Formats: sequence, C-alpha cells, structure tokens
Amino acid sequence: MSNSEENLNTTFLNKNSPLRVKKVVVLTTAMLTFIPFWKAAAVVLCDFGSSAFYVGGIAMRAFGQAFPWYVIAVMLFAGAMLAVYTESCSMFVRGGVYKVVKEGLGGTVAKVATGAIMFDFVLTGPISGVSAGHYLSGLINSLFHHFGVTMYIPENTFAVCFAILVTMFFWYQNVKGIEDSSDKSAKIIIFALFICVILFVWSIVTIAKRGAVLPTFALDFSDHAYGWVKPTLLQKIGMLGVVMAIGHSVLALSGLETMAQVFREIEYPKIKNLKKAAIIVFIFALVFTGGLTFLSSLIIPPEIIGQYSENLLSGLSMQLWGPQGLKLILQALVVFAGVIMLSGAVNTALIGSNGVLNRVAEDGVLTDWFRNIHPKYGTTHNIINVVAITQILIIVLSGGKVYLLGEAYAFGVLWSFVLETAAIVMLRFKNREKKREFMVPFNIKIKNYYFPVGITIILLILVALAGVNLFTKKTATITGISFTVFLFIVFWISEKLNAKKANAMFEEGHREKINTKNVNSLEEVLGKLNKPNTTLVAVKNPSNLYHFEEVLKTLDENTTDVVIFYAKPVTESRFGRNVSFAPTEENELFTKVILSAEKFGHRVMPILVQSNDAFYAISQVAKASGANQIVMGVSGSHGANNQLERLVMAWGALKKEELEKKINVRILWEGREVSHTLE
Amino acid sequence: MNSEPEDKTSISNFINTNNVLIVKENISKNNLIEKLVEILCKQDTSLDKNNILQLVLKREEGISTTLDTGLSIPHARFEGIDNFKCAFAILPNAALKDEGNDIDIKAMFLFVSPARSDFFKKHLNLLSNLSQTFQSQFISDIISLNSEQEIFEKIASKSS
Repeated sequence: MSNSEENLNTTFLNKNSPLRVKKVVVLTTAMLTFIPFWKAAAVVLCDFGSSAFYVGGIAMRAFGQAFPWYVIAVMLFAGAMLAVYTESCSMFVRGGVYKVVKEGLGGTVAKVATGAIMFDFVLTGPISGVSAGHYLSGLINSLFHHFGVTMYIPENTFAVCFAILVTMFFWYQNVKGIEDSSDKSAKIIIFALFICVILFVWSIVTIAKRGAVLPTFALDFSDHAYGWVKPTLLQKIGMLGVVMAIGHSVLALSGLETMAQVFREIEYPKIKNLKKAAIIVFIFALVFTGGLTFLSSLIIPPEIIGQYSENLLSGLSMQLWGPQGLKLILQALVVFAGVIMLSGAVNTALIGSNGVLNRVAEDGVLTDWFRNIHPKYGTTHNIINVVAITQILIIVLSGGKVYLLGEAYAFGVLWSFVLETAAIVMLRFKNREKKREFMVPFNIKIKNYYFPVGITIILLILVALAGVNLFTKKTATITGISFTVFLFIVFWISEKLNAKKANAMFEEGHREKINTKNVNSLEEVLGKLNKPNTTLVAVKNPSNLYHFEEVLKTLDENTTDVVIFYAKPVTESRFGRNVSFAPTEENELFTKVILSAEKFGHRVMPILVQSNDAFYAISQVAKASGANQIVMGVSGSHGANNQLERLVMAWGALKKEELEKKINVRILWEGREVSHTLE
Repeated sequence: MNSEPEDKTSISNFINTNNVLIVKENISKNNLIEKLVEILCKQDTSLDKNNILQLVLKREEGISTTLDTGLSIPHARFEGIDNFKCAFAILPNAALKDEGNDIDIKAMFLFVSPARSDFFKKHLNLLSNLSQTFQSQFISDIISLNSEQEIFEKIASKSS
C-alpha cells in the first residue's frame, strides 16, 4: 500500500476494508472564491476608468474646447447605465448583454447585440494599447528634450509596436489561462487614485497661481465630426449639436459590461455589494475621467492643447506650475498609471470577448472549433487567437492614430447598451412576477405592473445618441455595421452547422470548466478550515441541490465553513444494490454547485472522494473536518429514514471515542426535514 | 445492570442465550434471516413470522445493512410492539457473502423495533451502538466462542 493510501486510511478504517475512501480530489476554481465590493469596483474601473487617458483628446478633436463639459455629462449618464446593469444583474447571476438580450428580445437580436459588444471589445484592446503607446512615447520624447538628446521617437509607430506587444503578451497569458486577480486590479486603481489626488492638488495650486478660464460651451465640430450630417442642420436643430457632442464622448462608457462579468464573483449579499461597487465606480469615474479631463482643459493653454490630443493627462502634468524636473517625474507617474490601466484594459478586452463568445458557444451557436480546448492549458484558445489577431490587425490599420480608433469606438458601446436596456424594459413586462432586488428608479405602479419610466427615459436617450451617431460617425457606422453583420452571419452559419449538437447541448446544459487537484489525505485539504463551525453538505444529484441552497440561504460565513462533498462510486455501488442511479457526471454536478454558490456569493470548499460507500465517506469526511452539521438531500428511492440508518451505522463503525461536540444530521427536501444527532 | 440515559440502547438488554445462534453449516442469507425471525417470534408468540420476515426482507432490498466488519444488521420497524425484539447469529465458518458485496458475513444481528416516530431515535441509536460494538476484532473474538452462554457473556461485558 502506498503512503498516500496509508494516510487516507490509518486513522479511520481497516486497511483492507473495501469501504475505505480511495482517493480525494479537491475542486479548485476561482468561481468559488468571492470578492468584496471594492475589489469588484476595481476590476470594473481597470477597464472603465482607462478611457480617462484618451476620451478628452478624442472629444476635443471632434468638437473643440467644450469637450470637458460633455465628458462630465457622459460620466453623469454612466450613473444611469450602472443602474441598468445593476437591474440586469439582479435578474441573472451570469448575465451580460447576450443573456439579457436573448431573454428579453430573443436569440436573433441577442446575436446582433453580441456583434456590437464584440466590436466594442476588439476596439478596446487597440485603443487602449495605442493610447498607452502614445503616453509612453510622449514621456520618452519629453525626457529626451529635457536632457538635450536630439533623438525623437515617432509616436504613432511606437504606439503601434507597443500595442502589438501588449496584445501579444496578454494573448499568451489568456491562452495559458492565467486569470488576472482582483488584487492586481485593486492595486492599479489605488495607484491611479494616488496619481489623481496629486494631479488635483497640484492643479488647484496651479489655478491659484495662474488663474483659469472655464472652458467654453460653444461647439466647434471638425469636418470629420459631422459625418453625413449637413452643418446647416445644426443651426435648425440646436439640440442636435449637443447630442452629436455627447455622441462623440460616449466612448468613455466602454467597460461597463465588465460589471456583468464580475457580478458572479461578488460575495454575499450580492446585490447590496454590487450597488456599493456601482457607487464607487460612478464616483471614481466622475472624478478621475470627468475631473481630470476638466482640469486638463483649465490648465493646458488652448493654443497648445491640441498637441496633447493623444496623451491629454501627460499634457496636464507637463503644464502644471512648478519645476520642470518635478513635472517630468509626475508625467512619468501619470504615464506609468496610464500604461498599467490601459494594459489592464487590453487584458480585460480579451477576457471579456472570450467570455462573451463562450456564453454564445454554450448555446450551440458557435461550432465546436471555437470551443476547442487547448491540449495543454485547457483554454478556448481558438476564440482567444481570433480575437487577438483581429485586434492586431486593427492596431496596424489604425496606424497608431487614437482618434481614428475613437471614431470607430462608440458604435459597439452604444448599440449594445441600446439593446440591453431595451431587453430589460421588455423583461419588466415579460417577467413581471419575477422579483428583482433592484429596479432602475422612477417606476409607476399600476396594478401588478411597474411601468418603467426611468429606464425608458434612459433607453430613449441611448436611442437618440445611437441614432445620431449612425449619421455623424462614418467610420463607426461603416465598420461597426460591417463587423456586426459579419459576426451575425458567422453565428447564423455556425448555428445551422451545429443544429443537432445544439439541441443535445441544450439538454445537457452548460458545464463549467473545473480544475481539480489530487490530495493525499482528507486532512490535507480539510485542515485549512478555520472557522468555529463546519457544515458538510453531501451532494450527488445535480437536480437535487435544494438542501445545499437552504444551507446557503441561512449561512453565516463569518462563523461557518461549508464543505461540499461528493462521494463518487469507484465501481458499481456495492451497497444498496437495487439503487438504480447512474454514476453522476461530477462536472455537471459541480457546475450546478458553482452556480448555486455564485447565486448567493458564499465561499464553499468542494471536494470529491472516490469510495464504495457514500455513507462511510460522509462519516470520514465529517470526522476529518470536525463538522458539527451534516446536510443531505433526500434519496428518492430509499427515503430519509433509511439514509439516516445507514449513516449512523457507518458513523458507529468509525467512531472510536466520544465526540467533543455533537453532530447534527439534517435531511432536507421541499418543505420537510428529518434530523438526528450523532453523539 | 448499569443505568443508562433514556435513549441509550444497551445491546446486552436484548440478548440472552435463547436468542443467540451459532451457525456452522452453509446457509444463504435469506435462510439465516428466516431462522433468526423464527427465534425472535418464539420469544414473543404474538408476532407473525411471515409478516416480520417480509418486512425484514423488504428492508434488505434497500440500502445495505451489512458493514465491512462482517456484521449484518437486517431489521424492520413494526407496529404492535413496544420495544426491540432481537436475535443474533454467528457464522464461525464465514461462508456467507452478502449478495453483490465482497464482504463475508460473520455475524448477523436481526431486530425489529416499534414503528412509532418517537422510537426512531432509539432505533438509530441501536444501529449505531451495534456497529460501534461489533468491530472486526470483537467479531473475530466472538466467532471463536463455542457456546451461546459465552457469546452472551462476551457481549454483556462489552456493552457494560
């Protein structure tokens, strides 16, 4: 017998017992650790907040010196979109634009929405990478100038090369499956906040020394910014100019989809924590993106602000009052903050697009080729490859021009928002009986309906912006529609090719990718439990997790560890020979476990043991974990009483001495409970 | 006899020389169960043997009542009694296998208990007590004994 088998058995059972636990496997997946609200906010801000580094410059080139007012307006509107996303998350733990639009408006529209959000993602990477490249080349050129070096780095070329390198780096990371931890995001945002505070304080000092003039409200559109709209139309419809200006600034809203991606990872209580995260995101974005953009327009003289259209915040740091050397240091810090935030956004774009396409593929809309798993790393590398190649192509075609990328950018953001918001409005009527923990405010209750006034106003604003943008942003319209149509055709063809398989997948349901780690003994994994109480939940049937959810509903995570445990039969079950259950696919079972844990946001420890007798295994695990509660679901074929009988028999056989604490055994099923105390 | 908490179930309370059986010949599990039911019914003539046998065999179709130590605990819950009725057998030759298992049945403790819901806790305690008492070594010791009296005394000393 090997040492590992010795470890498993010597404490409990006769070495030759056929009932011994044969193998212990811990299921490790990031999905079962949940993050606090402020880390969730940091994850969102690493994408959403990064637009601070380029939105001002893009807006300025589009409609002149009034840009900061409209960037602030867009940031205020972000609050409304955060409310929309919060409501969508209250309906679907694993939401996002595809899921929500599919439920609200149907599969066909969902494919269009996916095309739009994918267009957003494939542009987020390039615009972030190219922008970071401009900030870096701007710093290098500043340093050259300061130290009298006559060299000059061509910024566009440098930006292209840098963006390609960053994209390739994160392509590799994503293929290997190294997920960005929320800890890294939190550190990045804290650093960015630090820079933001310095810039604010220093800007106030500068304004105190030099004074400042508020930026004009007058719009001065460039020729390109009119798109297909005749300038004379603006004179007839004054508001059109305002809508156009907002439309040119709305790219700052990119990244909010990350809210839906991160929601599943938020800890209990989920919606309450999501709201806190949303408030942090809103305030940070308003101050960081809106505030810094506004300060840039106050500090950088109007006659030279155009020079900094590709790296506005660098321009802000260089135009502050004070010694040149200190300003260079500040510029370096700003550039560092920008590079790490923007690089983070490149990564988020890859992760987000991989996530969105995986969600689509789960529905059988994409052929198996897209879902092929990397033989070594287990990732959906084909999806990642396609997205990365597309992004690199876009970087090259852009020639390093941030403005060009910005021109194309807003299409995906706006149309995905339009469709998602429309879907939520529709779901207010379709799923009116479904309780939501949160609804976008301003609703009029008439009988059983909540007429969605607030969210309808948001939808109308989005439709107006999206509609105007169709005519004013030629590049966005042509490329966006082309991309969306192309992707829609790909989905349509894949779905047809996949028709049979899609039905089977629909019946099977989604299966989570679960990583496992073999351990030598139960103590190795259960020794990590450190709370005063431990609840062991035995699971077997993916359709019968009622008892698990009941535990999650009443769990106090501060005092109780939860171990989710499945005893996989090694061979055909020797005990209960008339038991007709088929060996359960543990992937299906633990996918359901993960979904339930995500729904409540409670941390659980899932383990799988191989054993000939589930009740012996339960007793062993209960003893090893020091559990004071065992919870099981009822067996449909045997009943709760027989289950208790077998458990006490197994427990009696294993018990060597009196227990320090009693173990409460509960068997739960809808509305009923049978319990017993093991002593 | 030691006093015990209300719900504790001492095995020696239910075993005597009249309901212990030493089986040396080859026998099937169902036949052994039938023999033990007969012994049990002899102790209480109000019990219907066929009825009890059917209940026990029906219970045997469910989750197994055999432990890896070699102890088998066929049982049933029965209305019309107010306490446990038990019978015990040892098989020194260990030629009886539980169907579908790799385990040799070396001892069988058959009992019926009242079907009342308030008795279920005692029912479970007896099962736990049996599996805790009849560990492998103890069973090996018992099956080496030669008489019902020795078996009873051995169990009594273990239970006290």
